[in-house]
Amino acid sequence: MYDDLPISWAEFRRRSGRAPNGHTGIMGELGAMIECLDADEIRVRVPCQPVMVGDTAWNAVHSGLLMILLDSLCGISIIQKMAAPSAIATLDLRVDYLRAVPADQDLYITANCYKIGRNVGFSRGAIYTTDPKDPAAIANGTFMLGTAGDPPPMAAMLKGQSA
Amino acid sequence: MNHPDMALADVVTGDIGGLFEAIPFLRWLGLQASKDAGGVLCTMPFAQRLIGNPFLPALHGGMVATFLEATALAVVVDAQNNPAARCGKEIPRVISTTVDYLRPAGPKDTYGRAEIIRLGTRLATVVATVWQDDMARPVARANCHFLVASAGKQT
Repeated sequence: MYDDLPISWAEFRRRSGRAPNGHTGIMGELGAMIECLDADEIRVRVPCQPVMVGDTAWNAVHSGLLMILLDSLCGISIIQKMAAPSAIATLDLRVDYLRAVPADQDLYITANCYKIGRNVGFSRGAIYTTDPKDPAAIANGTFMLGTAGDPPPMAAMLKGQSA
Repeated sequence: MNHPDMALADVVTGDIGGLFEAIPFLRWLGLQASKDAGGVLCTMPFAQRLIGNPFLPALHGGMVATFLEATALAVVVDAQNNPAARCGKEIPRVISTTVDYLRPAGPKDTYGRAEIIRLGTRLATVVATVWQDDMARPVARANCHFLVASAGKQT
């Protein structure tokens, strides 16, 4: 779908017409890089940085940041799978924290939508640092489809058409 | 990697208001905690970086989740600060959080309160609720589990 990956989240937002007034969201601010954007997998790398720390004694990444990343990626994975993409809204999100994430390593976030219905889509996501088989956090997200909000260019972008 | 047995007093000096200041990511987001007659009240003042959908506009769902979890944490730490409390007193470590999104969160200040369902020697279970204009119309709620002491370390 994309022949020039990786691209930054900020660039992704700009190209898809979702960066009004230069706003590219926290994912853009954190320097997220989209490395893979296939129908069955999306993968983003986020470079480690000091603001991500939650526990200074452990130098561990904050759990809330992991939820932000997982919510973002699960949502994108849903839009990827929709036949006629529209706006979506998170209905529920469950995150299990399997181990602490050292704040001196880049984070990788993956997500996969495993079911799209007429009204609801279901997605799984995971965060790891070096080994995809050793996730630090996993998520299950449920999304309502066809809610108000997103402009169409994002959907066109995700489908590989020019925005 | 063992968690150093930091006294909670090192993080919160008798005042829950210092809690989020001690957590770099929450300080960056500008979260605040205070106590009033109703217990611990948390605030997430609106800031542009909290926006997830710039067109609605609406706060990022992950931000709302972060605020819910932070509110739950503040209530647990506040309970641990009670010298009479017979519960685990290590810095709470979150095990899992489940969020229900109830309404879109607009570009304005968000408030949070939480209720401890159970606080034991190892586990705390907390339900947090956040709202904007009307406490009776919550934006989201969450169920959080925290580890408050490791096995074999109960006091």
